[in-house]
Amino acid sequence: MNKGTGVGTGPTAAAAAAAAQKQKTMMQRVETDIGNIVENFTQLVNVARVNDPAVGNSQEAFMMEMRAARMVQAADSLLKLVSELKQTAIFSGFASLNDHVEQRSVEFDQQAKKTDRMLARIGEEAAASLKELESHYYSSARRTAESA
Amino acid sequence: ISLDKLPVRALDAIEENGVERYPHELSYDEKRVSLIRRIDFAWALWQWQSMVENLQLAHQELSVIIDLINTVEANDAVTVAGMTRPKPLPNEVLSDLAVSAATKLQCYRHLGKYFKQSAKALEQQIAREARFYGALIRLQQNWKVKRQRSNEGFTIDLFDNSLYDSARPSSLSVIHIEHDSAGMLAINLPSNSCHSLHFGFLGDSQKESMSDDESVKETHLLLREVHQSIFNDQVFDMVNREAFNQSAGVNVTGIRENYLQLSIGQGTSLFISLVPSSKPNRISCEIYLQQIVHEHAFIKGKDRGSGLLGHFSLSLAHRIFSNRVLMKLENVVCRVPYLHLMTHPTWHSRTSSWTIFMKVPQSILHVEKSQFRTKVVVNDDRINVEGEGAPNVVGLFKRSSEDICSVNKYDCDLADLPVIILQQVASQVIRWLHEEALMVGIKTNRDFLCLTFELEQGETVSLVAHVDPEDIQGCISWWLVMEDGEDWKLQMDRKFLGHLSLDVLYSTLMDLVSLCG
Repeated sequence: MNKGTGVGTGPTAAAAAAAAQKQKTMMQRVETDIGNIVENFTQLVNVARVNDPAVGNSQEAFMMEMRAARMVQAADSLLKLVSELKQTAIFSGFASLNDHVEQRSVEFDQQAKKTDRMLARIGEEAAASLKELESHYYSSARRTAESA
Repeated sequence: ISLDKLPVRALDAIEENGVERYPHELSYDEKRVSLIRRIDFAWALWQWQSMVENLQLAHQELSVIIDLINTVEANDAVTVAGMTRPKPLPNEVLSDLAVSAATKLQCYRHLGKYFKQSAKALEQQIAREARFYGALIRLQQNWKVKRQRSNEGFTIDLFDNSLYDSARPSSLSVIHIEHDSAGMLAINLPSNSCHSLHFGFLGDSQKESMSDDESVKETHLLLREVHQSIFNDQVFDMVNREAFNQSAGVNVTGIRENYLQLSIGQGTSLFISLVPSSKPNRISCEIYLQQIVHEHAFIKGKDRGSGLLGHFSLSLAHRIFSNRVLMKLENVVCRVPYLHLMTHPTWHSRTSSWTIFMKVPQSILHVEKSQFRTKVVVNDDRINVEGEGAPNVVGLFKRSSEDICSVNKYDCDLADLPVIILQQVASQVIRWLHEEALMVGIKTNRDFLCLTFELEQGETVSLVAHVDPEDIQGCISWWLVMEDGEDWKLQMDRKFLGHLSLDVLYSTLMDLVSLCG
C-alpha cells in the first residue's frame, strides 16, 4: 500500500489526504464485498431446509442461483481490488525504486571500472607480448621482407 | 396365442409336376421386427401402463374440476363456499418430501459445480495477473514504466534526453506492454524497427600502390569471398526448398527476407539466415564510434557533440596512415639485420610511435652506449623522426651515465620515410665507426655518410655508405673509395664492399686503421 506517511519522499499534504481517502474507499469496498459473500452464503445455507409443504421449489432454486452469482461477482470485485493495489504499489513505491536505482547505478559503475581495468590489463599484456615477439622476431636469423 | 413357424423350411405346396413352393422369405427388416415382437416388454409395460392410467385419472379429475369451476363462474346463483385439499396419505407425504429433498440436493450439486468452475477461473485469473504484475515489477527495476489512464494499459518510456537536447525522440521511445495469449506480459515490436550500427569501408578508399603480385592476391581473395558467398546463397536456397517439402521432417515456423525459422521436433526451433559478410576491423570501428559518443554524451555531460565525428574520422585516418608507416618501417628493418623495430603503444587514437634500435658490437673499451635509437612518431598524418647521434666523447671518457647525445629531429612525409630512416641509421653507423677509430687513436674525417682516412701522400680512403630502400638484399651497402688527391686529377677508384654486418664493418675499420698506422 502507499506509504503516505511522510517517510522518504515526503508527499505534500494534498497528496497525503488523497491517499488516505483512497485507502478508506478501498477498505469500504473490501468490507462491502466480504459482507456480500458472507450474507449470500448464509442465505444459501439457510435455504437448505426442506419445507414440509413442497412449495416454491423453483423459486428457491432461482434464488439460490442468484445468490451464488452474487458471491462470484463479489469475489471478482475483490480480485480487481487486488489488481489496483498492485498497480498502486508499482507506481508509488518511490522509496524502494530510488534505492534500487541507486544500487544499480553503483553496480554499473563498478562494472564499468572493472571493465576499464580489465581493458587496461589486456592492453598491457598485449603490449608486453608484442615487445617480446618483436625482439624475438628481429633477433631471429630469418626475417621476411613481406609485410602484412 | 401365437404359433411360431418351425425353423425347418416347411413346404407350402407341391404341385403336380413336383415343383415345390416354399413360403416367402422374410426380408431383413421383417425378420428384425418379428424378433423384436418376441421380446417380452411386460415388466415395463406395467409401469408405463400405471403412469398412463394415473395421468388419465388425473386428467379426468381436472376436467371435472374445470367443468365445475366454469359452471360456478357462469352461474350467479352458486358460489364456492370453500375448498379443502384432501389430506395427503402418508406415502404421498413421504414421496413429496423425497422429491423436494432430491430436487434441493440437485440444486446444491449444481451450485457446487458452478462454484468450482468459478473458483478455477478466478485462480487462473490470479495466476495470470501474478505473472503479469510480477514481470512488470521486475521490468520496473530497470526501466521507466508508465500507466496510461485512458485504457488502463502500460507503456515503457525509453526516451533519453541526456544525449542531445534537440534530439528527435525515436518512434521506438514508447513501448507498449501487451498481454500474450497466456496472459503474460509481452512486447511486440514492428519487425524492422531495431537498427544496429553497421560500419564499413568503401571499396577503393584504401587503394595504394600495390605491386602486381599483391594486386592479384587481393583479387584472388575477393573472388574467393564471392565464390563462398555464392555457395552460401545456394546452401540457403537448398534449405529453403527442402524445408517446404513435407517429407523433410521439419516445419517452417517463420520466414523473412534471407531468414528461415524451422522447428525440428523435440520442441526445438532454429533459424538460418544470410547476413552480409563483414570486412576485418569493422566491428572495432563500430565499437569505437559508439564508445566515443557515449563517453562524450553521457560522461562528459555538457561537452556536446561538436567535433565527435571529426575526432572519429581523424582517428580512423590515423589508423590507416600509421598502418602504412608501419609497413614502410618493417620493410626497411627487415632488410637490415642489425636493426630492431619496437612498437610503443600510445593508447591514444591519433598517435603512434616506434623505435628503431641499432645494436653495435661491444668494443674493447666497453662503451656505455651499445645501441642507437631512432624514434618515429606519427601524430594524425604527420611523421616525425628523431634520431640519436653518437654519445659525447667527453661524457664517454668520464663514464658518465648521462649521455649527451646530439639528436636530429625532423618531420618527413611517407614517401621519404624509408630513405630518411636509412640515412639516419647509416649516419649512426658512420658515427660509431668514427668513435671506434678515435678510440684507437686514428684521426678520421667524418662526413654525413662517409668516413675518410688519410694515407700518406695525400691519398684518402673512404668508407661510404649507400642507402637504397628498394634493395632487396639489404638496404645499406658500402663502398670503399680511394682518392688520390695530390695531383689534382682526383683519381677515384671505388670498390663495392657489399652489405656488411657491423662486425665485418668493424674489422674493415681495423684493417683500414692498420693501413693508416
